[in-house]
Amino acid sequence: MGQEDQKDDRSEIFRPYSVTSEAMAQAAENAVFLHCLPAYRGNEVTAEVIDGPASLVWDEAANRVHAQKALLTWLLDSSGLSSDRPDALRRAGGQQ
Amino acid sequence: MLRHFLVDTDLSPEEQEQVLDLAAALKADRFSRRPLAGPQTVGVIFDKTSTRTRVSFATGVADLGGNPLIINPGESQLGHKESIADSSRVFSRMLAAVVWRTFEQSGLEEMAEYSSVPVINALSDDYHPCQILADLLTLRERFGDVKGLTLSYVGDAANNMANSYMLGCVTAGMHVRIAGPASHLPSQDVIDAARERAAETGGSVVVTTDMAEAVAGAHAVLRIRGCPWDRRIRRMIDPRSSGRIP
Repeated sequence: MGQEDQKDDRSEIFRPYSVTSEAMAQAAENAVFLHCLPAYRGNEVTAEVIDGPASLVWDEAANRVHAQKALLTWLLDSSGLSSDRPDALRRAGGQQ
Repeated sequence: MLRHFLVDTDLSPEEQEQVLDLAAALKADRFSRRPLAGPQTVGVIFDKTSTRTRVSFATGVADLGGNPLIINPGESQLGHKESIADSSRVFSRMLAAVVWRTFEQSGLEEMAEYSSVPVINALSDDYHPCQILADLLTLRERFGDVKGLTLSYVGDAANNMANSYMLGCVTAGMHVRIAGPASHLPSQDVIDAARERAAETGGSVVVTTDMAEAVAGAHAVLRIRGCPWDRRIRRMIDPRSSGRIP
């Protein structure tokens, strides 16, 4: 009991930082909106923004795969552990 | 040399650029690299639940010719019945890499210290560096070069996400503005670390409570989800909760 009030207080302190169309209008003309999800429409961002033309959130989510594949590949290459690089095969063969 | 990715600045500016170039190449030609061919197995370990991180790593590891072994919260003895150091020694003899979503950054550091395979931070209490690589790739696709662009992070900024956006984006030479309530701004040590990196790249960091100042003329405006990230508040809302991010 009483916790709901605290939750409301917290929402209240973040209200000025909600991303609305008005906020986006102050950004650059070609500005984009990003959000790492999950999103609560009407809370931290309006539906108009996150579902609007400036929003790149679906590309952003999809790019997790590509960025992490690149990171894994780069780390394995740099560590000499990639299966598809000859120098890595020697190292992999020596592992127990 | 064995490399890990525990915090955004583990990649130098040049190295981060190499990773992003590779990401664009792998996006254009999805199966062009098979560094995990065999298949080798990558451990993807979750101490907290996950949707995007879990799906994206499972998909990515498979794309690279490997086998993702997903370990869900409560399914391993990691850090409970066996020390992180001992688990790490065992993992290194079985796995090609360790991807770990956990709480303490020090746990990741211990895992890396005893590992002979790469360790990747898939979100800790302090940082979420994988997310920032995805965002940088997204901004590159829209703007071409991201160097010199301004990213405004607004809302709750006393958390792992703000830390990583600062460190990762200044590594790319971006100007980062952080705006939030005075009670929820990043800690000074992370701001200092970001400014140190920014000095190398031509980026900058501004921390403010003024939303209008933060978004004026920005090229990207970024928010993260609200309430659930704050463990103090989670505990108030649900006293049964450890306060940890689920």
